Amino acid sequence: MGATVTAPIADGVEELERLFGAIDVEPDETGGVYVTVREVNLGERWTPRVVPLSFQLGFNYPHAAVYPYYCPAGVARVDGSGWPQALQAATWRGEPVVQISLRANRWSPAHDTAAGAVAQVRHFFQTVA
Amino acid sequence: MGIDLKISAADYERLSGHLFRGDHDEHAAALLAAPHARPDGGLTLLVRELMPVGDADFPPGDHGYRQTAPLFIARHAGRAGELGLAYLSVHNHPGASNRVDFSHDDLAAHKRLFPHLLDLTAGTPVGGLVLGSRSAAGEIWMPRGKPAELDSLRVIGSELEHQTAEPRAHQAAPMARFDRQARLFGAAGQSILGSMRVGVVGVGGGGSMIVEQLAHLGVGEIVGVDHDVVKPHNLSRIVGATPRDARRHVKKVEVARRLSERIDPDIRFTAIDGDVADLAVASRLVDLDFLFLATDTIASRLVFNAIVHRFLVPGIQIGAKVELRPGSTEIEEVYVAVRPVLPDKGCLHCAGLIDPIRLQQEAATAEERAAQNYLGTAEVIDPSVVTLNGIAASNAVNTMLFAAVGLADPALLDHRLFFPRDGSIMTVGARRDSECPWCARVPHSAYAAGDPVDALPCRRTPAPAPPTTWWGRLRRALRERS
Repeated sequence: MGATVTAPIADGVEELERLFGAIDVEPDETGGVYVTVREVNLGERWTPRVVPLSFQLGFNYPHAAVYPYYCPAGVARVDGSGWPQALQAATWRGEPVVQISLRANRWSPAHDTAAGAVAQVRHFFQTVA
Repeated sequence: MGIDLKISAADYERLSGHLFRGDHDEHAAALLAAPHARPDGGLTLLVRELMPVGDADFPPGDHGYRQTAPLFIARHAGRAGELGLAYLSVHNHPGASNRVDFSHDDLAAHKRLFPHLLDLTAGTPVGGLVLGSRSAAGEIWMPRGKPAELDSLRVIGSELEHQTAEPRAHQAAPMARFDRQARLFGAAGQSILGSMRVGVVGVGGGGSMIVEQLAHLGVGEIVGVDHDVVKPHNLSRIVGATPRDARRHVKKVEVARRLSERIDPDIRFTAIDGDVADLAVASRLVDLDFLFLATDTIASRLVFNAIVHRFLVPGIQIGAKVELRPGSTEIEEVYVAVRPVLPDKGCLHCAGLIDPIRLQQEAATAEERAAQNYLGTAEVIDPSVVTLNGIAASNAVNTMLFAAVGLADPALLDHRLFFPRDGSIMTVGARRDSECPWCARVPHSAYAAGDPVDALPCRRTPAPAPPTTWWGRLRRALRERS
């Protein structure tokens, strides 16, 4: 049984949908939600190039940061080289995943949003990793 | 029941500095205040904005000595309505000290003006407030019903002042048990303590000592919050806990209740078996007079900080920390923290003490946290020692006591770190984030925002199913009665 989500979470989900298109949202037991953005383009150096990206918006979002993120196991560099330090194999909600431990150094609930966090992950894969 | 108005000490100083300029004349201001409907049927108004009325907007009036310019009133009352805030018109009576009341002209002006203001604010209360130098009287008009008198103006700062229209009758002589302490702060101080409702969130090592001292001081009501049971490793720290409690998994709040009742059976002790991060628990703390936080989760810090700023409830967070060198058992540092948090001082968010990553980790399930810790740092059980808790608890309760009875210097409200290894004390300068979502005076901030209570950053848990057995229903009924 899920609990009612807060207004900031509803706003965060709406912004994700507006900026990233199709998303899946599943309430957790505490007023937060599990979100999957169905298509995030990691860029040409990664295979698969487009992956679903999942994360939790905790009940106290946006005071709680969005962290970490998960994509399905099997994500690899096209050139076969190893993962950057922020990526590690893990299990999340019973599924094998790649955990992406990217944290905003100065997360501010006044300015940072889930959509901005997803954009940062995409930027990380496309230009940094 | 009744109506209270709460204002931060900084706003009150600004207000009284504007009104009482030493020219023995009347001056005026307007307050925008957020309403909070209390469970007892009363109303608390929380001052969110203060607007001094310039002399040009407070000319001699046709009906009274002076009156605020209609354009000023229309502009700000209209804005109050748009923001869902009450509009309060304030002026001073320059000769009044600890007694003040409205003049006939004042009351006549209310009758002429306030029905129209209620149209402008579209449903939020309007009112008038008159201040003496140490007194306050008010008349609040609601959209329905008769005008009501203001019970008290409560100033939240290093002094926790209650200003009323006339001095309150205090107990002539304190009970014998309080004789020695009342020699420090008087019968009036003891009466103030006896009227206070104080929350203690976390009644483990540090919190149990706070409960013990509050009970000895004779506060009116202690509200203890904890969801945990006594375990053998708690026995070295929780005041009043016994090996039998650990064997029987007795709730820590029940140990705290027993402790309080043994010290002073006249004190009302309300035990809340729950987590302050849950909305159902946090919502029971927003009307307290003072709040102590003695827990070690960041989620509880967030909620505590939110209650302080959203509902102007002064509080103190305490903690004791033994830091070990990474990967070893060698001690790096030992310190005790006492952090007063008031509406205009000591915000835990501004001080960088609410880590957004740790908040998210705490929001995850145990399984999810375990998976994350597998990849990062493993959870560490910190050392915890009764003597360290004692330093924190005594300093914190002393700070509340001195603020309540008017003995505190403003410096007492600084964050303090105690280093027991060399006895040094460090005062931590207050930091202010101009964009802080809790304490900044910006439109998006929750500062003095009041209702709705469910805007607190809390876990929403579905209500537990009602007991299905007769003994379950009886147990719940007894618990609720107590």
